[in-house]
Amino acid sequence: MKRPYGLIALCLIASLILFSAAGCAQKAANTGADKNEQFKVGFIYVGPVGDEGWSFAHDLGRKYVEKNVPGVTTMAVESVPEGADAERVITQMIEVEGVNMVFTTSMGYEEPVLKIAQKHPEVKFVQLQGHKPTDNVMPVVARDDQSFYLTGMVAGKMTKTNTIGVVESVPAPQCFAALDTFALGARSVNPNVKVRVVWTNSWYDPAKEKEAAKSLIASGADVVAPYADSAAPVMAAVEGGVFTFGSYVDMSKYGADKVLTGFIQDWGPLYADLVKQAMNGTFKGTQSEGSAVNGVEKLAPFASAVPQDVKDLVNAKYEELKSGKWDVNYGPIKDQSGKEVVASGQQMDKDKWFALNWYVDGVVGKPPTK
Amino acid sequence: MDLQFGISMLKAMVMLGTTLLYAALGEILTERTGVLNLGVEGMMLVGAVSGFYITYATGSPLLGVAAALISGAIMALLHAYITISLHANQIVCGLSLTIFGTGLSAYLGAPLVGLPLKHSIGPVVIPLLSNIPIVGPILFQQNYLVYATYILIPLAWYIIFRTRIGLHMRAVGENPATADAMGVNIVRVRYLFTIIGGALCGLGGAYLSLAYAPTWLDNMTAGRGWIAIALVIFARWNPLLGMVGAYAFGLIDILALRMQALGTSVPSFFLAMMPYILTILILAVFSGDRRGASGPLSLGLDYDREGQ
Repeated sequence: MKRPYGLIALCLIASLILFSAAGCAQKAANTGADKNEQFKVGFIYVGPVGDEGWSFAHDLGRKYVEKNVPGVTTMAVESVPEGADAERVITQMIEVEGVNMVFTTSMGYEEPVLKIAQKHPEVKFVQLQGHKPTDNVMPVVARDDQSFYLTGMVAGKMTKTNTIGVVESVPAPQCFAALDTFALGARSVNPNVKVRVVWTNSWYDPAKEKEAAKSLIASGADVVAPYADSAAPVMAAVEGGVFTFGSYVDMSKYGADKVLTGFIQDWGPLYADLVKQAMNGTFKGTQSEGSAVNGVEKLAPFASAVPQDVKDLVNAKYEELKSGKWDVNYGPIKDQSGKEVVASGQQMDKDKWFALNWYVDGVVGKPPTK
Repeated sequence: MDLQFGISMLKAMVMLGTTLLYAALGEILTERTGVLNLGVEGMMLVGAVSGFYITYATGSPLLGVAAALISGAIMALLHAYITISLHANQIVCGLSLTIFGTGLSAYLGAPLVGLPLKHSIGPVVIPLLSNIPIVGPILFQQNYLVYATYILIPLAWYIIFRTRIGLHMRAVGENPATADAMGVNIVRVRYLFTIIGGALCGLGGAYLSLAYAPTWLDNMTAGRGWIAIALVIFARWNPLLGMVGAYAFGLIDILALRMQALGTSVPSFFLAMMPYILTILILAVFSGDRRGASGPLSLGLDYDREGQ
């Protein structure tokens, strides 16, 4: 019998086509009149905009730009894998669609972006979570750690067991920063509080994230703060009857009395500003941050369970962050042995801050990196 | 670590292990007939998304379970047709089934991401049995998909080792030419168990999206399909050992998380490695044993009567 290799090959090719079509569900949101004088801005997302998380927050920023900056059209491609695929998509955006500015919203796009930026010096780039500024590439770091200081304060005030937990993903510096500032915030209002942490060692695993939240509850935590991409730990906390916080968007719909507040990223105003700079020629590739100072980092509305004095305390701290006079990397910061690493009034070097891999005083256990 | 903490850990072990158990049982049935289907992850994801969608649309978890079984079965039917009827390479086809299933589920599930499921499959406490100290809370305060495995696993064992159809199934997996000469319909047996296996994998995925973490999220199985395939080897193609293995794998996952919550310093990467070390050890210890330790003899091999 002749083996029908042709048919098999056809099946394989068909499945590959379907996969790539689904995998990078490319959606060009090309609106507005396609005139030559329009300033075109492209957005590249690493996940689906429906993730209710990171990519969703950036897409809200895109919509804000489109609505508030006259003469601009935007387009977006979601679920673009980091690496070679990103290079292809970005190049196509520039050379075929003729975009003047690109927002690349994931750490792993930095290398391809630097390459393309050299070839296209006339195009401006905003690289999220990047650290290598050039003439036309502006790296922007999201400062979720600032918000975690504030949610830490809420947790420190609301806990009855003096045990609070954090669900963490991968032991990367920005995750350490969020955990450490959460502990610093909590202990600034409640010196007896202990912070327990569970790492899932995965950027994305809803089942494990849920189980991690349950583990923290079982170990006595009555407030669980997730720094995870899915809503699973929030759901687990609500189910377990403990307080929790949302991530990226307002998650009060999962349990209005249990989701105390949460961090929100509001990229719109900053992005609109950067687009205007690119349009009038003042855009400069300097290392930047998305923080409370420029209004990116915000807190979700407080639940009714949070007493007024706690709200006032947290709001006052937020104003301090916003003014730029104080930041979460100011001392005193002690390590787990109680040794003072940053003295009161001193500021920890930003390079060191963005390379954190140790626990501050009050966090229980040993860091997985040690 | 007090008793209550231990009980809650073992309860979580059963809950987390069940998704692996369904997938591993499906793969055991498939592989017993000599068909290797590496598409477990893909079938689980498609089962998870279709189960979620139907439950979300109709409000009936039962219809959702049915949808997961059917969609898993259809995926497996594709594998059966390509490898059994068209004699394609089983490894290549299984791998592409995983890639296909991952993409298809992401595509179909895009509008469903993050939607809350009102009619999820919640725990049902069994009266009397759940009052047994220690065992009661661990085994009998679960959901009905967990209870179903208490019946399915011994049943599958009985079918494989104690019935005529089980004998045929094992004969086909060991030596299809002899089975063929005995008058066993090779194609029918392989099709049947590949499809049943796929349905169970689909259900394993739906267990995650309907019961364990009632929500749909892209790629929510996060590699559990591959762990289930390793588990089949661990279980030496025996459903009862599969149950032990699924719970052991689940326990190690839970342990890694719970130990951290307690602040003990067992490196979590080390714990995560344990199931695979166990699998390798078991393979090493039993590989000299001819009684099925190295798997059905014709596993992954095509059978073509005319080509003999």
